[in-house]
Amino acid sequence: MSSRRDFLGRLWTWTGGALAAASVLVLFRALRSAAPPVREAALDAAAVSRAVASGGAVVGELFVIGSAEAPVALSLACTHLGCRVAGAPGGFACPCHGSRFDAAGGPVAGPARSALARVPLARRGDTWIARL
Amino acid sequence: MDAPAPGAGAPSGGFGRLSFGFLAVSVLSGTLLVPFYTPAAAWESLEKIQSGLAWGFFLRAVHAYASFGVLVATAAHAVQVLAARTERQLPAGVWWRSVLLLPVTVAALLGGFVLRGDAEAVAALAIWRRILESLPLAGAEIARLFLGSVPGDLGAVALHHAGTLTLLLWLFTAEHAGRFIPDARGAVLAALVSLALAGTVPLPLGAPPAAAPAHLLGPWSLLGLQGALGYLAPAAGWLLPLAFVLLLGLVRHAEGRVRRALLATLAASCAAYAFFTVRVLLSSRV
Amino acid sequence: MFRTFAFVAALCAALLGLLTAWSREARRERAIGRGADRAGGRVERCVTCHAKASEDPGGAHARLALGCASCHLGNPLAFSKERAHEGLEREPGALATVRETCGREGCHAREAARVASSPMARASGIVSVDRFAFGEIPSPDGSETMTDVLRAANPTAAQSHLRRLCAGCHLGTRRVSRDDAIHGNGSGCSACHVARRLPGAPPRAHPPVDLRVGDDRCLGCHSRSLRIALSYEGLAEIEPFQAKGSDAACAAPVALVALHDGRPACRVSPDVHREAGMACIDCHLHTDLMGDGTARAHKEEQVEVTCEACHGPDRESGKRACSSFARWTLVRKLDGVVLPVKQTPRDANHARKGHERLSCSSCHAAWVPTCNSCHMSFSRSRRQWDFAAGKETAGAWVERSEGFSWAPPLLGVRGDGRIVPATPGMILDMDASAAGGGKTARRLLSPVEPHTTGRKARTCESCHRAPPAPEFEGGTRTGFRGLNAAEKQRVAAARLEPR
Repeated sequence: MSSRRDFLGRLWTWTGGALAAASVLVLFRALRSAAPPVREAALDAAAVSRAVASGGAVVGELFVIGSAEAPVALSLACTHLGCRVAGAPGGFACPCHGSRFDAAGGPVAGPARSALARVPLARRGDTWIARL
Repeated sequence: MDAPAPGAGAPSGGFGRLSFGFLAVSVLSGTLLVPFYTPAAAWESLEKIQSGLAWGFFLRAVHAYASFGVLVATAAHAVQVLAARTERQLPAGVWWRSVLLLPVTVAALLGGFVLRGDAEAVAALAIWRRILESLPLAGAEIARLFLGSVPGDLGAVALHHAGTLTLLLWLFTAEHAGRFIPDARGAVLAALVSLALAGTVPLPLGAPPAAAPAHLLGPWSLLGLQGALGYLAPAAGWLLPLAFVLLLGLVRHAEGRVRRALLATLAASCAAYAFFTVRVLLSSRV
Repeated sequence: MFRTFAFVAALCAALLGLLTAWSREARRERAIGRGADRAGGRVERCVTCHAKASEDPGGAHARLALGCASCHLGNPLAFSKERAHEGLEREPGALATVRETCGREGCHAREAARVASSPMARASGIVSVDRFAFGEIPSPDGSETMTDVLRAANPTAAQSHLRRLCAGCHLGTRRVSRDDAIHGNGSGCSACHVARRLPGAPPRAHPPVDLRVGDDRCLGCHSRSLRIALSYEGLAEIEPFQAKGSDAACAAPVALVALHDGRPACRVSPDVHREAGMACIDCHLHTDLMGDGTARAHKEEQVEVTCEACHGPDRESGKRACSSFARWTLVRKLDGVVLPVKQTPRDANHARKGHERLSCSSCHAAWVPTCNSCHMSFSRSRRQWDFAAGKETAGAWVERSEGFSWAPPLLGVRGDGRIVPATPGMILDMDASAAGGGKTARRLLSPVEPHTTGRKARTCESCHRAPPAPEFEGGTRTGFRGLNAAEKQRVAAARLEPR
């Protein structure tokens, strides 16, 4: 009878909708849990002390400044939209939208609003470990 | 396929057929590039294709120019349709899916640019990820859905570029055109134009990904947005395209003064986009 | 109608595109298929672009023997120019990378290690004497090297002087170009073993790399400072204002010549060894030039060759420079010609009483260049090349003199008592106030090996009856001095016997 057909039709629709919603939720949970883990990058201690002695240099994917006992690593990802910044007179400049940073990573001009991230370095043997 | 678009001879069909032809050339050339490309070693693959493969540079250029042709022909077709007011000949659902062809094409072009793996591509991928992450509620998850869970890994981008987006483009175009494959004239013309461009205007290899790019130039279709992002918040990266697509889609449902107002807004935003594009191009020459 | 036209146009454009691509592909295939990309048993793709014969150094370092990357580093397996040239060393032999190029294991590792301690690399004598003349250090025998000077964070006046005017002649400096007289010095092994670009040679031609170190390679640096290389040729440099006018020092075309970098010089008399066709390297051997692992303060402490080594009297060291089985011949290195070597005659001239302390060149050197009126000052407003920065920077050291000349050498007494030729070494007044120094005037006597051996020795009168020499406040070596009053008295009062 038509009411049963209607009911079954609506049941199909609602079940389909529920399945779709459930899969979206499951997908959402899966994507949320897929956050990339903290990555460790090892920096050679000799390269770090050379970088520090010359006033700051790129070691791997970080820019190392500071002193030989307490080096500081700056992330080279622009705080606006993530492009890799390049060295410029007086600090850093981002080629994508024109943000500029001073030698310590503080924002000077352009759309970037915060300073370049400082990555903590921990000594392990004769390497420095950066947690990214 | 219940209400196919106007057939041959209609003034608003020419560029559409060309666009479908370009899509076919792009898909074919892209498939031929698959054996030689590895997302994990993207730049090295490009280097091998460009210099170490017989006719590799030519195949890559054909794929690139055919893909550009899809966007240009689709945009020209849209202008043609709006000028001739033939948008109402499509049912609403088909119309909206056809409008979606524009952002999906741009997404495919952006994916192709990112898959080059050079210094500019790395920067473009970072910007893309940040823009998606600025979506409300589930930004980070959406970014992972389309760009992969590991920042810098091109696997997800490659699969979506070759699979998801290509399928969507093909399905929506086929539905709009009323046929599964392009007609002969569109396909041949698209092939001729692609071959001409690929042979005479060589595509260079980008800088290796290790260093920061000198300036970000490309993809050419998104330079206007890049210029605007220098002044607007990152959310403008998805808000502006969304607004544009909505306005374009609504043209079908509006008439008279409202329709004219919508078209004027769209034209003004295209002009602003062109302005920002030129600005970025000029500033990179400095 | 339009459609047909558009179709035909597209067809032609496509054909043009295909033809262009075909020619490009053919060129790519030709480049890669050259077959000569096996170098030294390894595959190297450098020849994809660098296939010309003029780009092959030939000889022991030929491309087929060593390839390109053993010396020039870079990435020989890359296909693209950007990747291939990553890490490229344009000047192999430059001391900064010598351990990966000439001095790599299996090649010239021992020599590279020794060169680092050689006087030409350290230039510690130049640095110490300069800083001593500026009054910054108490003695001219320090161990500070030119590298230390270039790296100093806050350069003193003397270090600034050295960085601008002297640091080019130091093996650690990197050559700026191969045909520039001033900026073409340096680059480690290449300074001697790789020639300057010859006039007329194509720009990309690779110079030969060999042992044929001609005098032109010594001339770049040694035509400066004490002008040893010029004296050997018989040339005495003069200031430009001395080249013309009524009291010109000498006249063209016979006597006035232009040096390789345009400076004017007068033709005096060359060394007899030069007239015999000998090159610098015929006397100055391997350890003289490349060091022996021990760092020494001054160059004369490194030089092993002596007159006695070849001309007698019999000494152990005679075996090296001269042929070992016939002790009185020398084989010229550059062309293999065999020369007889005159032995010191055992006669009265060489056994005079009172001459026991004299060195051979005290009597046999004909002349030395003299410059005894240098005015130095520092100008903040001018610009000058700075070797530390590698470019022109603000501030310039300006040196003026009242003219150069040449004369028979003075005599001085070394710390060990030996009497050797000398020349005014640092006779100058200097105003370094704009560079952080003070105002000083110096009169220093410098020992010199003149390299102007004449056919005849100087006359007895030229020393014994010469007008008294000027007084000097000291020497450019610890313990070096002019003759003191008692010695001068004895010299003037000596009875001259016939020769």
